[in-house]
Amino acid sequence: MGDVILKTEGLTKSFGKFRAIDTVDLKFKSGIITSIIGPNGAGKTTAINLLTGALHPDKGEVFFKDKDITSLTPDQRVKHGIARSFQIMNIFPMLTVLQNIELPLLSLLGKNLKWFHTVSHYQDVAEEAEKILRELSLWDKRNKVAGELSHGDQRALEMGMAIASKPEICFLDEPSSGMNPVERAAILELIKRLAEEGTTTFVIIEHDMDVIFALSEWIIVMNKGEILAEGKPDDIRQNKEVVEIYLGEEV
Amino acid sequence: MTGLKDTLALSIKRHRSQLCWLGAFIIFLFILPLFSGDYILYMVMRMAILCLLSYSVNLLLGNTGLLSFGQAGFYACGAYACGKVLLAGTSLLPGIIIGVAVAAIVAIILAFFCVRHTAIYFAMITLAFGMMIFSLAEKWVKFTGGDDGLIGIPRASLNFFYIFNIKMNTIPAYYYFVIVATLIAIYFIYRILHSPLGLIFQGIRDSETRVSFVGISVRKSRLICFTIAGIYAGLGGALFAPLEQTITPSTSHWITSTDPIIATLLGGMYSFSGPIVGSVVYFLLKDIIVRLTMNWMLILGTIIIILVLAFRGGVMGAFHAYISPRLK
Amino acid sequence: MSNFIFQALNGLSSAMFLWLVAAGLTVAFGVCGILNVAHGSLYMMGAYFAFTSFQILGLNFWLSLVFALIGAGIIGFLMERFFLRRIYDQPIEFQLILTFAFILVFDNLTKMIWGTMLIIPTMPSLFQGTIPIVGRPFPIYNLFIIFAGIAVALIIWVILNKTWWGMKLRAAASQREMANAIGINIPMLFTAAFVFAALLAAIGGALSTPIRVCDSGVGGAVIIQAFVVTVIGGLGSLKGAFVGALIIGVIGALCTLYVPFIELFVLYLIMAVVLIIRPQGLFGGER
Repeated sequence: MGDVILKTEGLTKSFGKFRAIDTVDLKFKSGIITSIIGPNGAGKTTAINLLTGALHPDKGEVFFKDKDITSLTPDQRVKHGIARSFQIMNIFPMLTVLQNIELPLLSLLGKNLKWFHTVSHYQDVAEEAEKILRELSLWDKRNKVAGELSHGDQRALEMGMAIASKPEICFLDEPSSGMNPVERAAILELIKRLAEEGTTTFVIIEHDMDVIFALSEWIIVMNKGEILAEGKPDDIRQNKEVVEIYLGEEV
Repeated sequence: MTGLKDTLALSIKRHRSQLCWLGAFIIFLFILPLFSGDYILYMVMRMAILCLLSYSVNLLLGNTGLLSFGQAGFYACGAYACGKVLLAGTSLLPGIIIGVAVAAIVAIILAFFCVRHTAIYFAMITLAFGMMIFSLAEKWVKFTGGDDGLIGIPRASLNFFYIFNIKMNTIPAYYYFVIVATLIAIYFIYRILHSPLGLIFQGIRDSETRVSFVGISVRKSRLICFTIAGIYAGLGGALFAPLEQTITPSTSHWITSTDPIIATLLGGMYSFSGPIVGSVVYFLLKDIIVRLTMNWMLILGTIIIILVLAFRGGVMGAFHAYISPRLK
Repeated sequence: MSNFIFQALNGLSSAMFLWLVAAGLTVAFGVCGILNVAHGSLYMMGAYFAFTSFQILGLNFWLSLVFALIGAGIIGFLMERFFLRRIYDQPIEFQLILTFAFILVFDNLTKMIWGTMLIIPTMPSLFQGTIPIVGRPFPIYNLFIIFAGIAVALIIWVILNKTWWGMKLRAAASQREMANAIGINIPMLFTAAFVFAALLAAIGGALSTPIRVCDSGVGGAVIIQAFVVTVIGGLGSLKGAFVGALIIGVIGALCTLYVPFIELFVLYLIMAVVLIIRPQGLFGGER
């Protein structure tokens, strides 16, 4: 615990003339729930996209446990143990809830090229899927089409897909966005529980300050593509610059 | 193997009524030659071949979310290769196998270029490759016979190392061969579509990015999908050559690629049996409408417009939505 | 060398037909986001309308053009207003299939109205004759086509860059939400853009009647050429459609001269290579 699991060196990414991320050195420590906060356009989602392989950086490297993974594709990074959820809901809407969870498990358990037996033939996939769906309280809805679930359930499902691949580090991009307070409390509870019992390190992007301070043990504040400050929640709360730029708007 | 037995028993229990229908359908297909003439058998064979081509299209369209305008290219590869082999005087099986193999090889090669594209660009690049095959078929006269095509392809007999030798020159004999080959092919595609690999295809249709973020290579999966689709089109073509005994370049034209697209849409692109139902309905419709009126294309076009705007699930989709619940 | 120049000029005049069809295709795609497989059928309708008014009704050449434009414009309006509008937000596969169905409908309607007869080209007396170029007779009409194509290109450029309507169109093509926010009536603009596209196809079809044979199946053939051109130039790019048409028209004509057997193959090969190396086409944006 406490080892650096994922870090970047001099990470830079531009879109046209706009520098979304400017020579950023990020560090994530194993077992510590870290939040990335910052105003819109601060480069949070771009950072996640670079870390998980959705985008490739113009400059700089990404290291996973001291291994350079900068040139790896998203699926290769998932195999190394890096998973994510998306800001804009990204599930398989026409598949059932169960099938949504089975997909990451097929990859994890090396069944992704099996073409003859039905999916349910594979016991290990079935057992693991049941375990995860029970954890998410979605077991009863397993045969529903995912696109017909409530927004909160879909969010939970997406998180389930991220953790199903048993990642060592998991990025959650605004896990509580668009949720009502009840759903929000439930998802918070879920993240907490998963973080406590699992081996996964969570990194969260959020706008909701209550969520951030309730969950995180470490906070990274970004602004205009750079790291403005980082530290423990209490330190961040008292950091003048941060309050001015970001917290000030909401307090 | 107990696992397999259990799942088999379970699925038999769950799908009893469907299995009854399936059994009745297969028995019907096998006794059909006893009471029908050659024309009907010919039509059923055309349906079977269109059905294979439709599975080829729907593997990409309904399952992986890619519309190909070039499947006729692989169909023609299968047909021409099979035709050439049979013209050289071999028996039936080598012709069919080489036809499928050639289509598969062409599909693998083209897959590397095609699978990087989605949506409109996929449709366009498959169109380009399909039309390249068309222009080869038209202009490479020495090999393909040009506009006249390959003529006089024999319906060679089916023999296997002196173990058996079945003559295929009558329509009913060849009918049994086509039906058995098609049923085997449909069985395999059923297994594929219900397997992990099939689930991955459907995942790609729903959300490509999500598939790569659960740790699966979209590129590799698409490559496999495209190749299987090529094999199915090739099998359709290989069966088509001895049936018609003549192969012309129009087999590979992009307009030929639209027949299975229409059939799939008619039957239902999101149901497994969609391509089967669609192929049957397509030929029945065509046969009936052409007898009644000259304006077959007008009616077909209108039906497609209505299907796309209102009944995207096709016949099977409507069946599952409206009729099936009431039967229970 | 004189062969080369002469054939290149011929290529230039067929490039202008490609340009007119591809321009409409690319406008409809750029603004409405729809790839209209039936665009070639609008070309065909333009040809049939012009043919009818010129040969059957006996109107003069220019009035026939106007007649063709009005007819195709109405068809374009009906198509957009009652069908295409309902699938703008659907996956592209459904748009392709729906518009393909219109090819069947148009082909069949053409057969019902005009029968299976071919349109045999008749040159209006206005354009009869040739002028010598590199020592060989070059038809005046082909020269007229080249100028007409360039004139249309200029008109489109002026409309898009110098008129309020054109600016709205460009705004809608690049940023739909923004255009909506500044109060542009998007549905109406889309209809107008699609009608505009139909007019471009129809003018190509109408201008083709004096020199090209046309039958009820020509829509499918024309659209494939238009696809080749727009893909090479970049879907949604007018400049691309123009350059793509020049490339394909001239290369096609030169292939017919030197390597007639592989002409089609070469054109599709160019299309495939562009798609592999630069899928957005020569002038396509980042989309």
